[in-house]
Amino acid sequence: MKHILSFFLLGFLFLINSCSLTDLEDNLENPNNVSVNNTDVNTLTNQILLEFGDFVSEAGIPTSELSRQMAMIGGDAYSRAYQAQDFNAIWNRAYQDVLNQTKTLLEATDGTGRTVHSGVGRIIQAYTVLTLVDLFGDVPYSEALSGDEFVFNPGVDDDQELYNKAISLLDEAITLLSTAPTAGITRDIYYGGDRVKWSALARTLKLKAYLNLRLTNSALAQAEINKLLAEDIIDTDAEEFTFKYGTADIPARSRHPLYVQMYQPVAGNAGGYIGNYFLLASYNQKGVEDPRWRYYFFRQVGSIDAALEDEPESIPCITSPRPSHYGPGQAWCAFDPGFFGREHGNNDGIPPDGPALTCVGVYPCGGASDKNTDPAFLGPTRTGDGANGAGIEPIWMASFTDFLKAEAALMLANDAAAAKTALVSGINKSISRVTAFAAAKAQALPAGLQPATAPYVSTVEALYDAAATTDAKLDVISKEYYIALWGNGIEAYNLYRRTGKPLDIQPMRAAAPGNFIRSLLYPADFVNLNNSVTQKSNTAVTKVFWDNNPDDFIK
Amino acid sequence: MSTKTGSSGRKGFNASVSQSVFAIEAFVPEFQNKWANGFDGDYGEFFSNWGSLFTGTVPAVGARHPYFEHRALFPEYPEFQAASGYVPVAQENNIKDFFQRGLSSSTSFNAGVSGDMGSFNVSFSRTTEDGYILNNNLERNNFTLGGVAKLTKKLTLSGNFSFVKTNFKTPTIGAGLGSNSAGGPSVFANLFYVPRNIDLMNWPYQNPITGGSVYYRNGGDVTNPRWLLDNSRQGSYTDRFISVMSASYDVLNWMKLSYRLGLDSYTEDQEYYVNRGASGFPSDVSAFATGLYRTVNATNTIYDHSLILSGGKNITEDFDFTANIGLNGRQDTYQQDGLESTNQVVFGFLNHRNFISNNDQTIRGTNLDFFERRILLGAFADVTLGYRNYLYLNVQGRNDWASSHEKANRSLFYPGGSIAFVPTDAFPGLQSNVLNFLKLRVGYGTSANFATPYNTRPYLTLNTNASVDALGNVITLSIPAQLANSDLKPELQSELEAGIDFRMFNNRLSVEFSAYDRTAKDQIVERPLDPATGYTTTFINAGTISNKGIELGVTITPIRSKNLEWNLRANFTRNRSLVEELPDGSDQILISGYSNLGNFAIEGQPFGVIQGTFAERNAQGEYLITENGDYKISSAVGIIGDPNPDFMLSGFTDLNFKGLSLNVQVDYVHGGDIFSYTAATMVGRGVAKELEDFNPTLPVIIPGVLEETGEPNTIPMPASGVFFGNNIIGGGPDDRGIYDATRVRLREIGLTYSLPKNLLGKSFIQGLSLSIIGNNLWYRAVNTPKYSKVDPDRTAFGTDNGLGFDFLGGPSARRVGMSAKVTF
Repeated sequence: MKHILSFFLLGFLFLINSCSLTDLEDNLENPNNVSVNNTDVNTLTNQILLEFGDFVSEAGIPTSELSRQMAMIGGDAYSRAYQAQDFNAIWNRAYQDVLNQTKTLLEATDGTGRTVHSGVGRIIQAYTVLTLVDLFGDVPYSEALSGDEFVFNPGVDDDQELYNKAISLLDEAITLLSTAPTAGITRDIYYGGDRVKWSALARTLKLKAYLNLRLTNSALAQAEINKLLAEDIIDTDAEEFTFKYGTADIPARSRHPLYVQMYQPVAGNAGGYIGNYFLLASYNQKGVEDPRWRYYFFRQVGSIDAALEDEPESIPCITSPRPSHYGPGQAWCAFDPGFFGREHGNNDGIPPDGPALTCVGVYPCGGASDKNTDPAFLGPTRTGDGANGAGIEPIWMASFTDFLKAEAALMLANDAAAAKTALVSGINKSISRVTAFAAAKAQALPAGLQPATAPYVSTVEALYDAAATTDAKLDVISKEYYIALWGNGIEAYNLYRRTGKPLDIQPMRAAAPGNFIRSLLYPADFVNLNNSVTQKSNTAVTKVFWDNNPDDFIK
Repeated sequence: MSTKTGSSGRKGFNASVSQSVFAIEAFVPEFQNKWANGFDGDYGEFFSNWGSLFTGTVPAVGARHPYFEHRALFPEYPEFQAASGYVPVAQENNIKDFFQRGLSSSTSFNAGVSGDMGSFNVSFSRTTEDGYILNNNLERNNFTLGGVAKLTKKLTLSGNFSFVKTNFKTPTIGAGLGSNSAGGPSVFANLFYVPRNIDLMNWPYQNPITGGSVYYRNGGDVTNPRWLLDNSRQGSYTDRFISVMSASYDVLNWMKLSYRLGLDSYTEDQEYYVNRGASGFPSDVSAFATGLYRTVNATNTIYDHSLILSGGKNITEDFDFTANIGLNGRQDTYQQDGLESTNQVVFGFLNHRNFISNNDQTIRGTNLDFFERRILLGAFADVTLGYRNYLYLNVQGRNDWASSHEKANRSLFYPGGSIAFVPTDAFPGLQSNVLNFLKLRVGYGTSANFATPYNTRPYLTLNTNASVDALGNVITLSIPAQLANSDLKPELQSELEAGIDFRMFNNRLSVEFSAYDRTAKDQIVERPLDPATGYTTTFINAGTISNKGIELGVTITPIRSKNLEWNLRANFTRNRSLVEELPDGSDQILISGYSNLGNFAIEGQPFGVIQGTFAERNAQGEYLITENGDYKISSAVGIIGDPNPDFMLSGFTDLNFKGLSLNVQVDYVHGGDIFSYTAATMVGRGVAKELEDFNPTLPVIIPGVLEETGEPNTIPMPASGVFFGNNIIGGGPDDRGIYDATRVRLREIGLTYSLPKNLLGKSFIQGLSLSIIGNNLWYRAVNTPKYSKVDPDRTAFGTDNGLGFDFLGGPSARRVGMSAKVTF
């Protein structure tokens, strides 16, 4: 009897021992992750700077398609071109991966003397907010990023107020960056921790914001732009603001996203399309070859015949009639030597064209420069070709500043001569930067293959001089800016809504596609998970506050 | 995995042996054979099959063999070599022949002895199965040992050990969206729309030099499904050990104290690989094409202790009671380690050293190494009071404490009680040949559900390999996407149930009826958040969700004689769920799927309704048609389906004639919606047999009215524009993928012959039976395309708890076989 009782006692002790009440308390912290005590502002800054590059890249997808740099193939009418879920990634990057982290960073660095962290954090916030407004209009800000206080349905702020907020963040950043930090940023893919360059960026972003305001408040825009032009802004290549990709297979995001898409592990598997209009505009549409085209693009085939010889069904549109609303000079289907992109709003199935379509080149996507002159050439891309994906996000290049200057001079100061000077400077800077970029990536063209710069510039100058009206001159400036913007859809989409240029841009393939998308649908993760908003009913009429152009202003 | 403890009614030795063999046959869809691969009525090597009619002549465009580009690799195929003159021919069985007849075999053996001192039992069973596609195999061996020993008159010890070794492997299977697979390669994702002229089973699928996939698409952007059969695998190799040991001591003659220790532990080795040379992946996971190999070793251990004092006694002549009080402790521990490698060097060689990159994360960034532990402690009591064997009152309560909640929310008490009354026993006068038995019962029960671990405390996410940019490797630290919820409470489920059971006409009619009202309060759900909150997900208590329903079972015995008995039985169930209340001022919460297409909890709606975009209609219900002749897609989502069925009905019959018995079961499910990629893909890709009346070279007009003018739509579109472009796989509204899931199924027919006892005489054989059995013999989802053979019971592939979604997970199967059993 006694040993039986002790047997039970033993069992009971086992029960108590193995699961005691303290165990209940000891299993709350997640053992698989780092404790919140380990917050380190530098690794947190790494996260912000990395994800910011990804945000810019994601925001560039629909904007580059709407501006015809890349082909928009989701629908044959504007109302069907995009669905709300297409924009989830932009939203997620912006708020969760960038802004919520930046908020935490600033909480940790403000008032500690880490002025560079605090200044850079504000610039990142400002750019992100400006871009969210440019894309969507009203978005959450004052009630956002409060999930930890159980605010699960943040309402939107007025887009104009958000622009003001972003500009004041940039001013705060400029002030912070004027003071030497107690400790700087240890790893800075953009500027190597150089606070003077970050300050130049902050002023340049103000310049870009005020130029967008020129339609709704020209006096303010002109006054602020004049002030900024007298200060240190981004006007040299050393000051340019770019995210710089690497060449690793893993993680897959290391390379430029368009490189990953168009230079696949299996040759002939390239996907995605460059817009045919952009191909033509950047090749020789003005009657002179653009010195940049062999760096911008890589043609996998030397001619259309070579593509059809290889695969007769690769370019099915070659047998389709040209849409009647496409003018004679308009890009269509494919054109020699071997250019093959897609029409704006062509939502057909994907033909077996992986080895035939024109791929991105070395600038800015880190692909290959196009050294081919043989019409029989066949050379499907593969991972590893060219610069192996070590491209850039050209968020702000020195040339862009010149094109803004040109537009401001022409439209605000009514100074066509100053505008021309800035235009020419912008073209020259763009060409020399693209050429130098390719050379730095060992993708320089053999002697004689790169078209000369001078004839190109003089052709543009002649067009500018021949343009009779301010509007026609603005078209010349805008088109050159548009070409220089290759790889940056955000500014191209802003430009197109602000100026309505380039005028000869390719219309949708369908004759009656509805009016152009003036702001993007709210992301599905926003409207369907947040009870304070409803979806826009018509994105052709819901415009961003600075866009007061008429509904049918652009096609 | 419950196993019989070694106790048996019959003293002495007993044993049995049984063997069964089943053939497994897939329900393969049927396809049209009128036109070929292509688009807009022209022949071409597209994903879709909207090409030229099979006319026996060379098509206008693309008169090359689909394998022309591989001609140099396969000189033994002269038809690949010609640059012109290819005549597309329907390959009628190209998909049917992809499937094989599977075979399943089970053997089991069981032997035991029992005596006054206790009993002892051993059993062994083995199952092997070859599935309906190549390289899909299952092997399971089960060893069990159990015994009961009466150590003293008062102390009984019992133990049961069981070891199960299960190996399962298959070519990779994943969610398909009608255009390649959503994630990794899936053998079924591209199978059901193989173009009609592609001779899948007779043309090569592997590059003889590189080993990579070879297929009809010039760009190689679809992996040949046959290549995947040979070159992709997902496997699970599990060793599971279950032990239950208990001791019980009779403290008094009506009371005993028992202690029970359970251990359930398994180790699972998971393997996943795709050899180098597959293709057709989204660019973020294009590394699949370089070859990918993942191994995961997981260990799961559950310790479960109970200490129970139980007893039963007659208090007076009329009253008796039974009671249990006890303590329970349970600890669940899960640990896994894994490695994923990409960039295979030597084709086909599977060893992490044969891959260039090795990582402890998947290519999607999921951590492969982690540890989880949850502890639950409980105390409970349960008392049943009986009065004269016709009135019973039960009261019970349990309190649990869980380690996965903060201290303030850790404890939950959940009570219950029930009353049962048997009037036919209380008033013997009621009992007659007409009314044999009547029972009334009402009960209230509650149960708890506790959160999974680590959802209440914040942490930081460290990633030592977030990217490799121009400066090199990037180490990042970040606020995670999951918001910790320190207020997370346990979930309480309560159920009020009332019922009546009766038997009439000499027990020839038997009825069981219940009505219930279940309420889940503070249901724990992982709630996706608007990223503007700074987070994308959190665990919350999702308000109140109710389920009200009835269950009715009726059994009729029309014939009952010495040699012949015939029973008919029907079960009817009907459930209505309702989201009564949601928290935080939210009127809807995404439960699973995506914010643009998923299952939602919406106040005032059944739980899990499907929201997505839809084709807009005017006030008269006519479809609005855009300028280009398409459906107008709603910009906002709306409710497009309810996956909950209206009711379910099962019918059974069994007929016993001497030793021969025949059993039949038929199931019917009425209503409920399914979002079916299986059905939509075959239509959208132009291969469905239902389309045979169309001609893809002629235009079609979508019925509806033009949005601009209100006039009837007259805008012609190619058939591909209508059936593909306005289908869910071609960018059409989501409601085009919704089908009514009403279905009828011949679940089982079984014919068994048991040798009569008298025939066996006094031999050592106690029983012998032979059965012929057919399972899932036939089904039809009546409102889905007939030839697509959609089975709405094969759903939710690729999503967690997704209701009513079918992601091309593979066909349903019929099993026909026989079994024999001998008892000694």
